[in-house]
Amino acid sequence: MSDRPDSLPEPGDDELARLDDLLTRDGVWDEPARSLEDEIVAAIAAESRSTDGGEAADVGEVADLGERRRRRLASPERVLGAAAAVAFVVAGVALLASGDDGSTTFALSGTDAAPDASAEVEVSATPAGLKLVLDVEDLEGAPDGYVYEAWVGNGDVAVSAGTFHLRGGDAPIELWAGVTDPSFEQLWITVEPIDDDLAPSGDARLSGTIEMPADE
Amino acid sequence: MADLIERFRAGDPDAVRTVYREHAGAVHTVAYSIVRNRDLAADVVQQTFVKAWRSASRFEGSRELTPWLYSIARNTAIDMLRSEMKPTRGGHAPEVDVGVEPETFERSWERFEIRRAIDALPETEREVVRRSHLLGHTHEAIAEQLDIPIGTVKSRSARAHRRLAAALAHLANQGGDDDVQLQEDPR
Repeated sequence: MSDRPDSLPEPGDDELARLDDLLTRDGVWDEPARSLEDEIVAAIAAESRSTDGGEAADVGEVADLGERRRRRLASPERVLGAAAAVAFVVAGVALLASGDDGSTTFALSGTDAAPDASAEVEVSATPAGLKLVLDVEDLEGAPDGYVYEAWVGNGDVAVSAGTFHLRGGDAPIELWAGVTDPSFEQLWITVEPIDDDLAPSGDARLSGTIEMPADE
Repeated sequence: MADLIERFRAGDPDAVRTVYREHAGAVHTVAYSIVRNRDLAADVVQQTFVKAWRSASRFEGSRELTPWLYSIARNTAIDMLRSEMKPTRGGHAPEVDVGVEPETFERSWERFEIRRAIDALPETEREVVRRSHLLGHTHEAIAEQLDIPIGTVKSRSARAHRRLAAALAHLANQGGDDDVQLQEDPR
């Protein structure tokens, strides 16, 4: 583009109108996700190292990158495999309170892997999705290389509500899930290794049953 | 340019970032215009740049990088759309290849060019243009929002319009159904 715009002709009214039409086309101002740059640099660096200076893989074999992102999303296709099955008994509904704002508060119980742990979860439906605020008790911080991850599920599929580590103390944890289906009434917290396997590990520490608040 | 391509081909992180920053917005615009979903568009963007790197050995350094990236982005987005349109639930009806009607080549190329022109503006001018055209704010309002004199807003707007008019002049007479030839980057 010209470094000397003042030397360029000034557009007339018709041309300004045309520019306005072009500049208001759907999506031309939309920004890609911020994390993409680092992800792409890392992906290319990793593949460059793995090919060890040889020919790069055939064009088109990038399915794993797309699949990874889709699995991270609230995709109904994330089926609970055998390794990630809910191998613990999900306690029944333990409603603690209902708020005037439509939120509800439920209890989560510790599993056999963390029998002393417990949590209260305030659940509210917002235009952006399901908001979960966790107040966790007696659960130690996640080990290095691991995180805790919250899941909302219906026995067949699981949707991640986000990750946390608890190493800095026991402040309330705010998580989000993009589900509104009332059948998604299981909520559990697992320990997850930080790797590229995005399915639930099955190593649960807290679990409970929630009643989805009405969608706003 | 040839040096940048060479370093990109070698996977130089700085070169990858340079190529990404110059083209990511436009690639995203094309991707989103076809798949109409931000997460799928992110997949497309990611796949586009990785595919571009993988095939960089076949790219002639004397060619323009922009049209080449556009082609990869568009093809990747269409493939993604077709893949997403197929029902793949096990135990249900056999897969049906649902017809995909992506945006025409001409229209998506147009968006690509528009976004490239926007991204080429100096940041101060781009912000004035964004607030004026996308958000519909007056110059007075923009001056207040950015805490700058209205004269500065007007001069930035005028310079930006001159640049954009020059950069997008080749889109002037193209209707939706006309064939378009991939132009050399007017800059």
